[in-house]
Amino acid sequence: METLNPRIRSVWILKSTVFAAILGIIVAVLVDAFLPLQGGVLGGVVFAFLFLALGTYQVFRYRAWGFEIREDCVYLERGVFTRVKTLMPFVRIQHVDTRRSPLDRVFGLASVVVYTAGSRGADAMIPGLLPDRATGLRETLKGLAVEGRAKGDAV
Amino acid sequence: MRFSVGVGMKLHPFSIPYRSLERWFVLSAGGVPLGFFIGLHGFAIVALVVLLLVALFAWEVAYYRRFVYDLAPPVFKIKSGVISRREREIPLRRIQNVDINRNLVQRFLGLAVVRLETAGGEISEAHLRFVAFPHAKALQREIRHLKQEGEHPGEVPQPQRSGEVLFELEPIELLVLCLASFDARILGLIAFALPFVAPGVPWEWIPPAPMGALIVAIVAVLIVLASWVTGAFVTYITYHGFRLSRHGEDLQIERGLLSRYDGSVPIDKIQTLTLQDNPLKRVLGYATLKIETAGYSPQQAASEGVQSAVPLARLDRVMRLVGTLDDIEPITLEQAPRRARTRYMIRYALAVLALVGALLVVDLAYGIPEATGVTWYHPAPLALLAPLAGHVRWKHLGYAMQENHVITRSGYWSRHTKIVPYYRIQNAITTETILQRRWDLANLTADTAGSLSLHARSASALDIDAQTAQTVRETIHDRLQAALSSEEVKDLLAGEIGRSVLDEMDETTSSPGGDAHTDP
Repeated sequence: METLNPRIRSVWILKSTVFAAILGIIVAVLVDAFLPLQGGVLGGVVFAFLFLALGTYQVFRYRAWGFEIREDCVYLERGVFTRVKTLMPFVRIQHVDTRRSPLDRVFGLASVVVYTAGSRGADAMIPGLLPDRATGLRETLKGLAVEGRAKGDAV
Repeated sequence: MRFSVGVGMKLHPFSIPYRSLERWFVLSAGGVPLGFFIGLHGFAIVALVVLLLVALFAWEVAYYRRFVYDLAPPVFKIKSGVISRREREIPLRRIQNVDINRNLVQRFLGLAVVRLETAGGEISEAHLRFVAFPHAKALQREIRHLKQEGEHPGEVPQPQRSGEVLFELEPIELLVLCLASFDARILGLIAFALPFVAPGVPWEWIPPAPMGALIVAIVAVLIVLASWVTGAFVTYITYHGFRLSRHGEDLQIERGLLSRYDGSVPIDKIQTLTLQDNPLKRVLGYATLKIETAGYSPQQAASEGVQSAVPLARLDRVMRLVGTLDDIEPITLEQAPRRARTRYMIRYALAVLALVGALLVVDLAYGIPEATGVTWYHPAPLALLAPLAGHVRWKHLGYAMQENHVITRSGYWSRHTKIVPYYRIQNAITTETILQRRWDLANLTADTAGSLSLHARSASALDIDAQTAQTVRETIHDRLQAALSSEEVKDLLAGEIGRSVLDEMDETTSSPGGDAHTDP
């Protein structure tokens, strides 16, 4: 089982921190404006709570993630609360993307998105890969998909 | 043949007046009241309306002159557009459904609307408004023939006009279907009209309490009756003359009393067969059959209903039809483990507890008014039903792994039994929620490329043993691989192998840099 690059955990935690901070600030401003309470303190509490909760979640999310290129399929495992395990046969792969968001680029990461015609196909995004690994994965999957196509069509 | 199909075909000339009048009516219906509203003179309005008609007519003439379509194997080609031109080529091999629709007026004029569907896409890939009906039929037949010839060159006999009838809706089935239909649109209409009508009602004429209540009750009954009659009527004219027949590799569905629908579905594109029933249908021994293909987009499926469905038929007839479509074995399902039943019982009991708790909180906080006659512990006896509800829910869950198909079932009020051939499965997915993990249970989904999946449930075996789910997931995958390499399926998919698909793969993946793909 291949795991994600640990740096993606930092990206996720960073995102959670920013989210918690924004929410904390909103709470602080609103409380200061409308309630006779210490907005700053309440905002800080909200921030601390969210930071801890989401941060813990991201650690577990990272641990739950895994994928494997098997003989004839991609196997994915993910989910903290709902554990999801997916088998995607190569034959069914429609196309494969690599993606890099601005944050990904800062951290030197990339994602691979595997599309099938299934109704949940676009779910299969593998985040937190090194760019070389992502490109390699895309090429491998493309090759295997073309090879698999000799056996049948995608729909 | 009089209605030959080939290159350089045009729409029917009647399309010009029909299309212009159609839009003229719609625009005038909105425009004339608006004209009066902003205080235009009557003559000005008449002049504008006439001008509009002339303009629309001119536009439609231009549209007609520009619109050319060719059936030029291996593609169907359309050139259209007055201002911005468009040329579209649809590979015949990719066409899934060929639908012909005619409403009453169009039937009178001998016109038909033809739509071609391929997998994916938001709207119909080709929409021909309008062509002569015999021409539409010839087009449907010819496309089917060319497709099959492309897949098995030299083996396909000339297309026949009439196919083998697989299923016809019997009068008694149509009657039951009509009686079971209820059109909620009347209720919607009344709800919409009420604010406008209410001030005009002579309320003071309505006598007080007992008589007044009676009148309200009668009106309510009349409304329900009207909805029922409308529902029955709409169902009757929709499904009158329902017939499903087989033409070579295609299924053909015809139905309708006033508007006729005539659609074709390639059998080898069927993704899922769904048997749907409810407690009443089960008691009476009836069921509904839905045939899912990847042709329609979810939006279309929602707005137009599932076109490819047997609305209602006796269970044995449905099963016989399923048997002719696919070689399924008699359905015997594996039951979910008993602890799943315990879990449902607890879940339903907890739901009742939550309701009681919520009422208690409301009572403590605000006090529930005496007038409602509700005390916070009133729903508590519902908990007695929890074991029964849990049992019923569990009883109607099940799955089966047959030689060529995976079958899943769930639901009590609306029970769905889904039959999916292994070679149609896209992904095999297991999910375990945090609550399921406590019981060592999991859901298993066999995902297909069906178009209805956004609305309908995909084929899922719910709350089966977690270990079993893992095994079944692997088994499904193995059987999918085995099915794809079996000679029979190879033959079935022969038309799509190698040539096209490999070419497409190269096209889509050889773009420089690889980062060129945009989000779908």
